[in-house]
Amino acid sequence: MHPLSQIIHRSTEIFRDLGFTITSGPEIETEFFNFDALNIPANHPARGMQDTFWLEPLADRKLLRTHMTAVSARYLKEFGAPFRLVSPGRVFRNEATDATHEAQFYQLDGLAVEKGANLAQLKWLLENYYRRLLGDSIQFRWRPSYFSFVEPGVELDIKWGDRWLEVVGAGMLHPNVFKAAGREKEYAEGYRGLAFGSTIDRLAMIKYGIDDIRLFYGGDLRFLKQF
Amino acid sequence: MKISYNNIQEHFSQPLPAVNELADLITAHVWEVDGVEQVGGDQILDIKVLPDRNYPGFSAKDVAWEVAAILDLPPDTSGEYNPELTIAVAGINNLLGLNLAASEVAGYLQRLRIKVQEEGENLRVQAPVDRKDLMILEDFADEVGRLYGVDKIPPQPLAPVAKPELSPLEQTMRYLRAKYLSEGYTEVYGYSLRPTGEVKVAKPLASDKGYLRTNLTDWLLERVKFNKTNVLFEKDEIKLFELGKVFVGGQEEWHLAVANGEKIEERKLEELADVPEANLDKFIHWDVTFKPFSLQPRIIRDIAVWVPADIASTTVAELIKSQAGELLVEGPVLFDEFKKGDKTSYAFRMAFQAMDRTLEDKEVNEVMVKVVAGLEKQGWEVRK
Repeated sequence: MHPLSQIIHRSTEIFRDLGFTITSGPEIETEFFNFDALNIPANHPARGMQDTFWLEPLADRKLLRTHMTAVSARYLKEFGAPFRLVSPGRVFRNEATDATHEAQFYQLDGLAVEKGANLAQLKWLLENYYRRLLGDSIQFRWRPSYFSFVEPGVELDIKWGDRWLEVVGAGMLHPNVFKAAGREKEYAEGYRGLAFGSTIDRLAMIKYGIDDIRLFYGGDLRFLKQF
Repeated sequence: MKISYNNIQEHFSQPLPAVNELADLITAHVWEVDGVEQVGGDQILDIKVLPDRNYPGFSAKDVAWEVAAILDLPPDTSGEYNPELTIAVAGINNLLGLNLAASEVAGYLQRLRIKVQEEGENLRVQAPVDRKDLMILEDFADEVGRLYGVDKIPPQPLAPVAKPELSPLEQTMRYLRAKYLSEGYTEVYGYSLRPTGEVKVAKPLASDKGYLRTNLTDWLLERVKFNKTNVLFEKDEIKLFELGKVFVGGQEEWHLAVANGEKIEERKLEELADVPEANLDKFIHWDVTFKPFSLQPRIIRDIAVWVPADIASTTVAELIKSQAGELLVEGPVLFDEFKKGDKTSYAFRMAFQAMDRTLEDKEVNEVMVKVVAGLEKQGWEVRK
């Protein structure tokens, strides 16, 4: 099986065991779900043509989704709380390609919205996931971080060889995201969201020792037959 | 942001921890330090200041404020302050999954130059004017969490929830993967951006990536032809499949395309629904380590040899392999075999390739001389 399919399949099975529904959404996304609904400021550089693939006609404000968090925003608006979802999928960034950058790649986004959800549970969830995926001996390092759609925001590094590698950005869903989804009532009732966005391609590169991200999308049997 | 260790030190009368220790503390409590560089008698920290605080005029002073907070040194409260807000201690504890006393929460905030007055289970807080990012309870919880140390917050298990059903789409995709992998097809992931299509990208990376794909077949056919250039025998089949989104007729559709050689069939996934649940476990090869392969041209050679009838082809192949050395990248593959009297003739095909250069014929000739010598040493006759 394709190495990205292997990582996605094992990951989604681990999350499904933890009660997460596997979901998906459109690759052509609206500005609303990709940016506005995620508390990303109107003047944020990520919205620019140099970072995002906008589609013609520009007046329609349609784009190729830049992160799977857009799917989480859709789900929150459509279904309310409580829920646990995980969505693996293809995302796009307008950047020149080289051995470590591709204009298309995969992310696994998750969101659990429950009454009283907290950061300590988010830590348990993600540590549990990476241990089950990569083995019990894996070492973690949690750091503070910032993403507009969460507060507090954190990042998780795992130790690989003698290096710390960043594998996931995460945090508590920002109240403005509840608001943009029309879920102020749930927020007022004490519902909070555990949100995370994990790399798939980089994880596969680390796991299998792959040195060029473009190999995933080359359709080259000399590469694919190794998996 | 490049910040000088000496400049941070200037803000303190007592000596700071050594630069690497300081860098680890900054990474653990506020911003990731990407590296430390020795420049003259100073050390420069490369700090990834997060976008919510990356304002014009950011300097060593801002870092010094954070260092004071981390080391619990007296805070600088000399500046102007934002209007007062009231936040609930319980709200902060609930968000972090901690159980801190009001005085502890107040203590962490005060270390960050925030003015705090305890009022029962609430705190009245005033943030310095440069901290425009401190507006709501969540912002203050972030500050408490990081000074406490997000690494130190004890994980708490989530309540168990029943394993959810698969969606029909997920069930279909798993079934199709299992079906085609069992039939010897290889899964490929193609590019969404193509030279032609119906949906146009406003500012494409390249002229051949200006549109979203309308089918999976075009790229799959290119890949079949490409892979055909790397096979040992003309008759070798290239069998590929892809599951992916296409953009056609104003719609975004999941498609399956299956290539058996240049014969390719593509269908909408919704036409393939109502399939049984499939298990993909046997297609997970978890302990693989990728072996880099050469992109240089290959040279193909055949060899045929007479051996006594009781010698297996695998024995001959092993011997060839042991003589051929590291330029041999594929084979020897047996492609012909016949008996005559008490002897068998085996014919093998091999591919030679270097990692870093185009191989020359004479290099392969030298390898073949060694291979022939190895076979003849067994008393076997290499067919010329």
